[in-house]
Amino acid sequence: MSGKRISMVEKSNNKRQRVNQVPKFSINDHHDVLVEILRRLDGPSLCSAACVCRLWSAVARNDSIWEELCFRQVSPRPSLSLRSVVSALGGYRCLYFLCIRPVLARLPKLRWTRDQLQLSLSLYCVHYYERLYVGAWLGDAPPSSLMFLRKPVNVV
Amino acid sequence: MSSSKKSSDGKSSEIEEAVASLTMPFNKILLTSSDGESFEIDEAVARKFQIIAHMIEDDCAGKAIPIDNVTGDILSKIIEYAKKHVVEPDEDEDEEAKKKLDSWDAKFVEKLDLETIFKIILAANYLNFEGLLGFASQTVADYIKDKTPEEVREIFNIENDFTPEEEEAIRKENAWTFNG
Repeated sequence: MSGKRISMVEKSNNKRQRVNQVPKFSINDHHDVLVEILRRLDGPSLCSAACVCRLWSAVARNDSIWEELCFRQVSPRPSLSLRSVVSALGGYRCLYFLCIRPVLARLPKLRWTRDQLQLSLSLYCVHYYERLYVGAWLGDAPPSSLMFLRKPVNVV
Repeated sequence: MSSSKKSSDGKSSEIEEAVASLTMPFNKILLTSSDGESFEIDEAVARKFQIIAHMIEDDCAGKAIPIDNVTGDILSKIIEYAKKHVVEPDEDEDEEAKKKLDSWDAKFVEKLDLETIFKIILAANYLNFEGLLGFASQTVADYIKDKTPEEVREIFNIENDFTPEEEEAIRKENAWTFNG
């Protein structure tokens, strides 16, 4: 029997089995495999994956996955000492959600290179210090400078 | 499975074998799967599995190495991939060879179902075979790319264990577009 036919038979068997019993392989039993797969997703897919179930949500919070996502198209790779700075400011996941995601949502074809990453890191610092100083003086008022990322903009 | 099985284009595999034989002694390693199937492979191919490379270096690779966590069918697929990737073509120097190899890789996974690919990922993780682990994981990642959470649950048969409130909050947090 050729490989293709075997897998076709297996596929139809699996479909029948699914109605009656739990399939033999459950990805949630294999944390390592899940991490390896989620590491290789792009931003929108990773956000989708975080909504699948509690385990996936927990794994998707892993900051190293977001670090990899931020640096994926950046060449040469930024130095590792950057990691401790970004962690102190709130982590890569926060950086991505706050400064990178709004941009990519509007400009999905944008090539994310070193310059864009530098700009987002600067914005992230601004956000952090505003929360630290502006927040402290004016009570719980949210920092206003990054709100421009949330306003609808006519982007060509 | 013997090492004399050659790929269809003779010239590039001749070069591959020449390089492999110059850089590695022409030794054979015997791998035995968990269900008793045996595979005799060249040392150069066996070295793709870091776990075995370390054993060879530490001189504790005897005649036969048992691979207790992997069944014969999966091990044979992994060895097939390893043999094809013994010499990785440099993307800059030999674009043609890289393209050919990529197309072979695509055909390799095309006929595999998801469960087999999972088992391959697990085995590649155990054997510490970086190349195949990356490739197989990327295949699954591409499979779930751009799918909604419901579709992903369907594919992997995962139960939604969020409460409605949790799900609402999670979705809001992870929304990709902002509405105003």
